[in-house]
Amino acid sequence: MDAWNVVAFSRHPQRPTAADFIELACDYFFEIKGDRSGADDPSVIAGMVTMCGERLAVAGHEKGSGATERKRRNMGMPGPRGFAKALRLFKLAEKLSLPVLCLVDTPGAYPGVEAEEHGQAFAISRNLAALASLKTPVIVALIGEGGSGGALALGVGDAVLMMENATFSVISPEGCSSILWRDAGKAREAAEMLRLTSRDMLELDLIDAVVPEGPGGAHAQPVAAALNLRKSVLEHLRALSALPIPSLLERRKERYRRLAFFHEVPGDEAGLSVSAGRLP
Amino acid sequence: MTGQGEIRERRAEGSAACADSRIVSLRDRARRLWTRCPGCGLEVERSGLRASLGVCPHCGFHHRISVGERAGYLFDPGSFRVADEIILTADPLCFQGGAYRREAQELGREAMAYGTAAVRGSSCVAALMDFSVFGGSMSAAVGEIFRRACALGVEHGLPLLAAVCSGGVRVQEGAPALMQMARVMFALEELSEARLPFISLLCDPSCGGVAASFATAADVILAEPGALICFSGPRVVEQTLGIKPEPDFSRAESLLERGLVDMVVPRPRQREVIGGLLAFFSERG
Repeated sequence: MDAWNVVAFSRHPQRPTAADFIELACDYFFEIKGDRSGADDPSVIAGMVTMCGERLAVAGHEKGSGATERKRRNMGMPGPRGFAKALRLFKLAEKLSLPVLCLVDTPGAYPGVEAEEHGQAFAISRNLAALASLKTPVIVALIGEGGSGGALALGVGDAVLMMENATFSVISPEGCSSILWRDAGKAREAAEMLRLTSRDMLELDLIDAVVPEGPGGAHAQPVAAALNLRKSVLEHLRALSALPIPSLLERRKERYRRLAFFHEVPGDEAGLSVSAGRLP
Repeated sequence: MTGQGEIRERRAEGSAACADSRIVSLRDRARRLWTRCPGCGLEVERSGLRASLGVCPHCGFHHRISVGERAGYLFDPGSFRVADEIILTADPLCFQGGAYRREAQELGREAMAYGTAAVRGSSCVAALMDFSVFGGSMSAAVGEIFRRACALGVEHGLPLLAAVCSGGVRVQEGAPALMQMARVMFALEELSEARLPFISLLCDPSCGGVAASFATAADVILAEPGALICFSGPRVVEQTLGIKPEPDFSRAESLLERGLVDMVVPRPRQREVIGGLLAFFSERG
């Protein structure tokens, strides 16, 4: 299966959504609504769950199932109010010492005028900062599309799991193709170049585990996929819950510090020198 | 003017083919000396524009300037001590069969420079973004440079000043570059733990994953007049919704009105404002 097929799987209309996963893998679910500041963004689903006896706080992008639901849920593309709802859940989890599970499945943050007017960039930045220092374990599961900053706003944690046919990318293959070749038609080629599949992400050391979906993908076997994901989440949860909070935070910081993909050319001398003349 | 003399001289050569090249050569020459201001559409002399810090003398439009020009007007003369190490891309995706890596290596610098600097006598760590390097986009190397700028601030107990000018995360580096959005937030967290202030100056453009990470995480956010500050730019909004946003969409002034930034500061006043803030911060106990 090439990268473009994986992209198609990750976007499949029958692919189980965050709500499906909660329904299939969790026993109790109390959904929280709203940003406590005037509105509820249905593209984010959040609440408290129990899963095989473990209590968790869950937040996810929710695409919705069926045409009407998909429209109402805005295809899982949050505005600032959606990110604020997730942030509310993160803070609640911290207060109650509940581990957080993030279910990532979005084409990206919603590119709308109103979203921008209400500070889309600021909302994403706030969530990233909150997740970086949240004093409770955070497990991220990439379950479908992982589109750019909108995905990352619910995607920073102690362990990142990825469903076999999920994707994670800085830009959609169509977007990449139209930037590179001014032609959205070369998306298949772009999908390959972006290295957005679970296998690529494991090779790049950006994720901790790949969750198998079984033949035909999660849309063919939603129950099996949900149970596989639950198994992996519980495994990681047990390991992370054993850590005291300070070492958990240190470990999280170290996990992201390690994501260094640069090449250093040593200077003439160590430290700083008066070299403003070198500036372009 | 020399241009006139050149025309006469070349006219003697005569042929029609030459006429074309004469026009081209004159046009090149004019482009070197003059530029059309996107703000008012008038021709502006480049030398005059440099002297006015890149601000159009007719309409006040803030033209994009280089890192050197910014350091030149913002910092006390000779105070900007640039970190010596050169951090370049490792091309994690091996994008376009290494074509991207070659281009990046030929440039020999990344989209951010950092070091210590002083503004009106108050010291800070400065991180300046360079739009001429892949549109100021955040590569993994830029993430590392920003992390080191924060670490330098913690080491010396200095506030951080970031001049942002970026189209977002670098597409050529895919998910590893996207992860830098998180990586820089961990670095800022250390700055916060050390109780050091962070000032960002948002210039045109401050967009995408850079806007959605460190740029908007500052304690005080300043913006240049007319700067586009957004997550999704007007073109993306238009492509998705089929509606062309208003010209003032996501510009610094409308962000000020909506309470998203603290102040819109024209270039000639930035030294005074930033210097004042740094002086205030340095008085802490």
